[in-house]
Amino acid sequence: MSDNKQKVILQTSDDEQFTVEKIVAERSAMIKSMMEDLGEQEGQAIPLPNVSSSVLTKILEYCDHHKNEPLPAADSSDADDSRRKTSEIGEWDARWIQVDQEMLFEIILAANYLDIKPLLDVGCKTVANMIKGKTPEEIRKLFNITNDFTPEEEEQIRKENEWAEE
Amino acid sequence: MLRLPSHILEQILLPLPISDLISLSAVNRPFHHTIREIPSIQYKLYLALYHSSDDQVEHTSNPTKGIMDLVESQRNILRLTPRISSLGIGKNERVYKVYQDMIVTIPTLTPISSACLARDGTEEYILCTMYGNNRTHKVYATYPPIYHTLTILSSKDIMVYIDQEGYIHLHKYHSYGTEKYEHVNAGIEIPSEEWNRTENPDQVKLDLMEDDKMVIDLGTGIWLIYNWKTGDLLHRFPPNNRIWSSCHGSLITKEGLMIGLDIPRLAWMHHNPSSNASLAIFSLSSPLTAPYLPQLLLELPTPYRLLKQTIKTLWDIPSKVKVIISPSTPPRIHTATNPSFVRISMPFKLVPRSSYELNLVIPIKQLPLIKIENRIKPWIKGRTWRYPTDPFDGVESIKWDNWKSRCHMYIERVQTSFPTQKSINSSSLSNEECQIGQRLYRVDNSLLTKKGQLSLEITDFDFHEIGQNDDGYGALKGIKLDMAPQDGQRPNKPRTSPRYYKISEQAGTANLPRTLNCSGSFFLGYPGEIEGVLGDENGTRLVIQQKGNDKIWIIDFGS
Repeated sequence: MSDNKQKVILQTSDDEQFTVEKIVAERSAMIKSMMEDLGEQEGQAIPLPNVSSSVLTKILEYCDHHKNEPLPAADSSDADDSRRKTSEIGEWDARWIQVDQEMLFEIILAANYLDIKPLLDVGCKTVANMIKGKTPEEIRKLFNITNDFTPEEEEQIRKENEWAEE
Repeated sequence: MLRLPSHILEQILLPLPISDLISLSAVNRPFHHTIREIPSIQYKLYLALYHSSDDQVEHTSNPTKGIMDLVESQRNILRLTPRISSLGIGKNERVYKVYQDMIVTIPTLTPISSACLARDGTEEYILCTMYGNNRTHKVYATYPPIYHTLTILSSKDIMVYIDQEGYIHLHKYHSYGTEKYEHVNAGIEIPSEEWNRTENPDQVKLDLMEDDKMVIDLGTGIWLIYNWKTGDLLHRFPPNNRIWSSCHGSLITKEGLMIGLDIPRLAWMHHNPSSNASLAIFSLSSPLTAPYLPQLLLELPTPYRLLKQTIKTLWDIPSKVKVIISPSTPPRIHTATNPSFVRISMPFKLVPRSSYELNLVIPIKQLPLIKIENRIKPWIKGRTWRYPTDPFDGVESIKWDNWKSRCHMYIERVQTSFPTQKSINSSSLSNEECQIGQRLYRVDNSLLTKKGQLSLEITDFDFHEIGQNDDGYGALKGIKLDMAPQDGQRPNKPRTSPRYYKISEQAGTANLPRTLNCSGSFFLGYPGEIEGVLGDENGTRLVIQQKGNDKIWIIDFGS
């Protein structure tokens, strides 16, 4: 069996087990490091107590699509920076991440936990793009937030933020 | 969303434009708290408040220190309390660019005079000398350069110049820690049909943008826009020669807006003096779809009669005194570093022969407030906006009375004669002043020449007081500042105290922020005429060069 076809078992918080290709699982720096720690103990499941099966299913889809791309360096590199600076998201990624808000935040949290930097970027950019250009009221509506400022406080905020008005 | 860990929130929020961060801070208390508690976001907001440049916010290891340094340097500017030092430079050198950690000079001699032999026996030319970090570093060019096309993008260690044959040369230098620099390319040839139209290479200007664009103003009303990384010519601007054939200067903002002043040809103006000048604003950051369309066309209030009336009203000139506006001295736009306002000077004379200028200072952020519709149509027709009988469709014509509330206006006496038509494009700034960000820095040449006294005046056209306290509600968390010194008072903690100090303020209007003016003088001890006044892109470090003095003065307002 070639190295690429090696399998690894991942166990989610709801005790579901996923058998995935090593090359797919290695998109996660956290899993990669755990695999290195575990060595060649085949058949041993890697526990992911912070990731549910529904979220992992979605994330594995992402990892599988990007499995042949070079892994980002462990430390922040120029490529990382330029990737972060642009607000653009790849076409496939943008389609893939069209999920409800709850799932979006779960994906971001899982990407952070699993240490999948490009996925975390995609998630963060998606949220940022949702916010961009919106008024406070539109943002409240978007995230279902209640305005807890008093009218006086709101007026004060408006006054103190005047410097930035276009 | 707020359940996300703070480092993820930071990753989401930090790249957002300032306007979005401001909106978020007004959503509810937890969002307000988040915006005010993430140091890198606060740093970004403070940089915006002071129109300072720093694209490294995400990588600043200590944004809190960044904020404190920024506030401190702004306070030093406000109180005119710089550190003044001098630096010896070589003979036949002129200060060309100032950075926070580096001063660049170019030779005053011709390239041929500065030619020397390289180690391999080939001829090379001094391109510039870089001073900083207690090191001096000469950079040589392989081809005779046009000195004032030298442009440095310090954030990317890139240096570009155009040689006298019309080739663009790109060098990568290594933050001048070493004396090595590499040729990134073998030279990009400017198309000969364009280069040959350039009668005077001194009018050629070059700008490097952060987004890999390089803008070359050929001084003929033609701009060439390249990708400096690949050397590809992206655009020749404008697509239609008719449109910018009467361009009278332009400037480029750090946001990638190119602002140009277009006025009718002189001969035509002479016959039809009621025509308007126009500002056209183009976004260099817009997608590269040809042709570049102006985002905005703005007719400026230069009709002959209106100008005369304005001048008379502004200065309370008796009706019998004659105001002469000569068609041979058209308005001009001033060049600037990292500009946040456009300054346009309109020369006029009062009989008998005194020369003056009416200055309009228009905040750039005002400009997008004025919208035009149907902007593609005129370009398709190939029309220009200069003919009153055939104006641009949808160009907003703003009444002169409204203009008065949209821009600062002041009249000044001009010491020198009017600039001639030829000199307009090269550099419209006098060598006694520099415009950086929202400020204008001016030095009194006569006092420096006669008495060796530096009389410095700083006008901030977009002044914001930031004395908020910690309990405030704005997006910016307040930093407790002591009050600005009152008129005539010495600053509390002087570094180099001005010998006199004066501060005045002009209230803002609905459309205009407050203007603050501070002035003071310092004794330098070397009488000599000013050769040049330059500043870094944040205006925290000024360099003054005097004729005949082999030392330059560094006026550093940094923390």
